[in-house]
Amino acid sequence: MIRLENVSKRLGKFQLENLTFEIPEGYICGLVGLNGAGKTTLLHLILGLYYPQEGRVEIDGSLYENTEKEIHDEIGTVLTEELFDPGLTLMENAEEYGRYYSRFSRVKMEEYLSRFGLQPKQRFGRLSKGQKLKAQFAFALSHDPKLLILDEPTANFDPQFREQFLEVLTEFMEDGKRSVILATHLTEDLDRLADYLIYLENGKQIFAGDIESFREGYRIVSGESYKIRLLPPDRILHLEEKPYGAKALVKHGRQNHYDKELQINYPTIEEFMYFYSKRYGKSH
Amino acid sequence: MVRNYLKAFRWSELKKMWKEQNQISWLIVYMGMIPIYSRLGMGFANVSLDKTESLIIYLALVLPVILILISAAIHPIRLSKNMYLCPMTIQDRKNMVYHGYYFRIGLHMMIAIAGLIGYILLGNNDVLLVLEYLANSFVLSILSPASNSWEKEGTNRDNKRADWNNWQIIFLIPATLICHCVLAGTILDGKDLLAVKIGGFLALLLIELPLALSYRKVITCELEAALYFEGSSKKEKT
Repeated sequence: MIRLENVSKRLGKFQLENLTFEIPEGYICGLVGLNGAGKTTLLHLILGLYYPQEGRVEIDGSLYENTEKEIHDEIGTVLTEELFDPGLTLMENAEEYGRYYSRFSRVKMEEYLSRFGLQPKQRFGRLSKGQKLKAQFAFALSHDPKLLILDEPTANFDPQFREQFLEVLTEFMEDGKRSVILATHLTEDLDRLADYLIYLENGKQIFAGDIESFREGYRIVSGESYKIRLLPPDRILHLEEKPYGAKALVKHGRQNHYDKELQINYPTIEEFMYFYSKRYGKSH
Repeated sequence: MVRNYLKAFRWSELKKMWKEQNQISWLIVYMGMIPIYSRLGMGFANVSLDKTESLIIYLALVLPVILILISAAIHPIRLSKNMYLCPMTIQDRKNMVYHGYYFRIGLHMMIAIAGLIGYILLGNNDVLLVLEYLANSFVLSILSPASNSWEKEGTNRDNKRADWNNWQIIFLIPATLICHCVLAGTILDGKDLLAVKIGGFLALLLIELPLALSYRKVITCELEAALYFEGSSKKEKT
């Protein structure tokens, strides 16, 4: 379980403010937000690379100050940067860094490389961006982590591998005791997979909770603009009017009713982000 | 450790380091001074480099210093990002950082000793000159580059940094290079120039040693900062 309590972190002019959430064990957590929202900074806090200026970060009840080695032994990481040595082959890199992990398996590394269409003797520096991410993903899996942290890995994957990637994640989660935090702009993947959602905007936590609460808390309402405007104004987060009709993101409660001629749908994560960012007249 | 040391000389790594404008631009400035100091050294010892043999022996004495400077510039103390993600205690990481730094100093001294081959070829056995030569090489061996990647990672580190425009370095490198070139010229001359030996010893005692001791504090800060990805484990005030 990952718990953040009132965590704040300042980096130059940017500030992450007062983040508080608890990701249960066995969940896939989607981390979303516009560019510069603080997703990577949050991941760095969870990875123990950054220390919070306020608050605490707990991984399975442990703090980095006391048990950094034990915590890192349970985490597999794929970041946007290239973490491997470009001058070494994939297997040399895996052995170089894998020796620090208590459960690193050369056999598993070879299996994942083969599955991802890579050769152990390929030099890391000569791979394409997508292949490098696949190699790092294979390594992250090869030491049997309890927690996978993935920072926008899918952006450089071809569509065929994206399906394979989602399959591998599903397999990874099978025992119900592992967790994944996936920061991504490809929110349709999260709509399919995620159990927990964190949405950041300008360093602030807009939403953090299980996906059901998210879905139950909001609706996309489509139809005639004047009918949508009949809803209480404090519930309408943003209304967008087009020649063919209007669409709005509204807060939803169990007792809320809507005009029969309005179309009511659960928002996708992308729709939520799009409409929410436009409230108060803000745009992307 | 040897592999980590040698990988810094790869073209891909050199291109990365080229972007670290801080030490690269200052390295060029410091190395650009060597021809000037060489003339000074040759003039002091009244030696000419017209003869091929003299030139070769001189280069044998001065090239190690150039290699040490370049090596110091391209080997940051800070570990690669992946090492801060690998399961390690702070003590493990401390061993890695400190041993890597000591290894580099040892290797630089071996390069410096190799440069004494020229001295041996001349059949000289002046122990004081050799010690002064090695002392100068050691002072250069302890240098460490600052790394612009501290800023890139958005860290809040505000303790001392081993920048190559630190006041200690601005005086230390030229002082050491001048002494080194003068010593090299003296070695080439072959005469027992007492004034040079005394001058070299005084420069070591009065200039280089105090500067090196002051710089040692900066290096210690850099070594301690390298234990953490962010450069510090302390919670800074908001």
